[in-house]
Amino acid sequence: MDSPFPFGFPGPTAFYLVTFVLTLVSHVVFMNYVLAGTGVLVVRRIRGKTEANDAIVDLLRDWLPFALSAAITAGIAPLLFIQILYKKSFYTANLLLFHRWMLILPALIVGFYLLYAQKTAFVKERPRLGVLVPMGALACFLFTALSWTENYLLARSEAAWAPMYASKAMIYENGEILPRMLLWTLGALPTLSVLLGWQLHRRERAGKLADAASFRSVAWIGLGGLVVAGACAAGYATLVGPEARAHAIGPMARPWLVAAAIGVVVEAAGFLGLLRAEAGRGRALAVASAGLFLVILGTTVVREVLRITAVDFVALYAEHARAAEVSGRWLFLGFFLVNAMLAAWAIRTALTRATRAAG
Amino acid sequence: MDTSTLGVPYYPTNDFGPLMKGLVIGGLGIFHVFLAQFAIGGGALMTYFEWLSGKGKLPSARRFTDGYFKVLVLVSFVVGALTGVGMWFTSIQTSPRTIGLMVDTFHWVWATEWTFFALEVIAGYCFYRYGKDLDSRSRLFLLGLYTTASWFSLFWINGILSWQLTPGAWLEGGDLWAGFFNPTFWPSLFFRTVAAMAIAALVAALVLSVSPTLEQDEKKELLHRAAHLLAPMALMPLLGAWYLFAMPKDSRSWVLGGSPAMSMFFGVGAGASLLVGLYAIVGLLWRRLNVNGATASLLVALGFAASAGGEFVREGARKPFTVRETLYSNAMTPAEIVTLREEGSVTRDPYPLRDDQVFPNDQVRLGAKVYRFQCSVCHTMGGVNGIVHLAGTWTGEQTRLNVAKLQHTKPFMPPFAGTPEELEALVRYIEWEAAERPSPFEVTNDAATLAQIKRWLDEAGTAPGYTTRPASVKK
Repeated sequence: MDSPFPFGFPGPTAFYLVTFVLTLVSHVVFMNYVLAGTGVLVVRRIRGKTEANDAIVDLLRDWLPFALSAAITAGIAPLLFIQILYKKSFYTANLLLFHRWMLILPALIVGFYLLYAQKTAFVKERPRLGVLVPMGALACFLFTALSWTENYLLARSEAAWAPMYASKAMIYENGEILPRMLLWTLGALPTLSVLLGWQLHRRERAGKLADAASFRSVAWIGLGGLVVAGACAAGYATLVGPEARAHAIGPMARPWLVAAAIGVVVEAAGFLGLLRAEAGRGRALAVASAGLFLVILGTTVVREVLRITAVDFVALYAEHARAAEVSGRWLFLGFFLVNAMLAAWAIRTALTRATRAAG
Repeated sequence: MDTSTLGVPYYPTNDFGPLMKGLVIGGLGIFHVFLAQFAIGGGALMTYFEWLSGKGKLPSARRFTDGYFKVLVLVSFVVGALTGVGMWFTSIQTSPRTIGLMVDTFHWVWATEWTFFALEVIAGYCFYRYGKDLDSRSRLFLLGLYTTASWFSLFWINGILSWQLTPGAWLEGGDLWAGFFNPTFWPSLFFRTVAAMAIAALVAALVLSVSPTLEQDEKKELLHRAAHLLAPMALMPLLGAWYLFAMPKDSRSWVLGGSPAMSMFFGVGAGASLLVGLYAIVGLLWRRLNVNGATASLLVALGFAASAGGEFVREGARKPFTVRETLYSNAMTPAEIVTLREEGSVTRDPYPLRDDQVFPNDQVRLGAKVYRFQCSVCHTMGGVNGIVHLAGTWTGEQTRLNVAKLQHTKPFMPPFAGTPEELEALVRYIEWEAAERPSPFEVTNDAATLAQIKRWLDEAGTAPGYTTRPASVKK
């Protein structure tokens, strides 16, 4: 474990790790949009903004249900690979949290419907409901985030399993949970900014409402998110203990930590460019997007390194090797490509034909 | 895939009180299957309607399709997708080892299914969002894509689920495709496809009956066209018989009278399907009757009952396995039972008992741990399928004999997997519970009794009951 991730692992283990991280990254992008987007929507609603006078509220109200659907769909793949990689620890955390864990399903269903409900005329006509409904959705998503954080930390702590089972506790008590959740929640803001920036950019090109103030708001949300998430990361690093800190800057994670740090700088430069730009905002957004990719990939790998080093990962190599013996990966790859092309075709058909018909 | 050398994994076992775990997964599973089949059939129905609309044969179809699709998105995309994830979570709660084996064996098939599900969601959202502004050809393309993707989701998942009951030639060499295209794959796939179309037509009848924007004549015409998707139900008896005869003989016998509960669920499923099928063919297709909201609701409820019956039969018919001849219901492999009879089944279990102090002595504590590890996945102590109800009136000797030869006592039970001391402890735990938990409670330690248990265990062997008879019976 002295080589940079994913080198230094046996072939099957490295393969599943990379697959897991890549699929997790795609989930994180949509998840960040939903989590931060609902939060931003609540704040803007409280400040009296509506879809009629604020492009950001309009976009979020319109796209959050789809983003949640995309987050759930994208989340299925990492959920599959985490079972191959960590099996026992993941399952044990699921079992120990039981009621709490299963509650994320109704919470997400309620959150989902609240996102749809805020698009209805009934809610639109009632300003108080316009605040309360996204607030309810945000509460559902924060509960889900809390449960995942708890699950992740419990899965890493084998020593806590038997005592927690015997105590019948429904909550895993660990001082890292809330700071960690805060870090990931605030860290979602820059992702939202980049995606909202692109949505506004597309609107602008289509000649719809997307004023300079909205772009500036997006840039400030992104910059603010980077600052507060950075501060939280520094604070969180003091909580995790010397061993985890050593692993976070150790040979396996270091290149990825550096990549994430570079990503933060690049992303910030993109947001500053967006603040100043009067035209050609696409370039600033492209810079911010590149930075964002580095940040998400880097932090996801560091997160994984901390899990790998906390469990008896070497003992799992045999299980990874067994799983790798089964066939089907070429089938997956083939259909992945075919279905990706069909999906692109469907999107193109919807966008171009609808535009033509509307025009 | 041979998992026996990895050792028995021990997991913390949750107690669901008077509810057995199978009810939890069964309840969610039925709900999910119903919604998933509605999504598939719904796509087929809308594609059919869009095609009719494009040909000018059904002018009101387009208006109906847009409304129906909203129902599909709001119900199926949201609740259907999340209960799908929920199936994984509940499977973990019930048997983490089973879901682990399924994931290990079929993760690339599952990943392939995920690409189709993603395509289904994307095509569906494109239609939901832009459908009203699209020409008929583009609408038909998106709906066709949505339907094809959703049906292929079924195709892949069907292979994994049917493999659990009939792994076929996978058992011999571990070949993935031999397991996927197993003996019940095709009958199950066709049956589910017909069921999906029927559910979609029934929901369409319900949506039509409450639609405020359509005229009575339009509703009648749409209903008649939707009922075309019910016509394949005429094939259900044939497909059901094909499925039954593709099952292992012992599993078939549970369904056809060997197990009262399973026979009852089979009856519920077959009866509900028959009622829906008769109404569809005679009432809707032949006599072209109209359907009001109450009748439509009743038909949907019958459709749900048919799905519920079918899913219970599918889950129950696997006994005594969760993956036939590979993993028993209580998550042990046949090879491990041999080892655990020597080493003890809970010797390495790291999880203490909850409320340890309520037990009167260490023997009952050991019995409670054995019950937790070997029995609690299908049984409760005093609730649904309660052991006290099943065995509380037996004499001590009867209980010892019946548990030692468990797979012969009831062929849908797995063999007992522990030492004679563990079996005796389990018997004492059952007796203690049946006696309403007295304190103090005597510890038994008779060498002759343990030797007798050992003989019975040896006679019973470790093979499943349906494949062998105990030595004494053979003689």
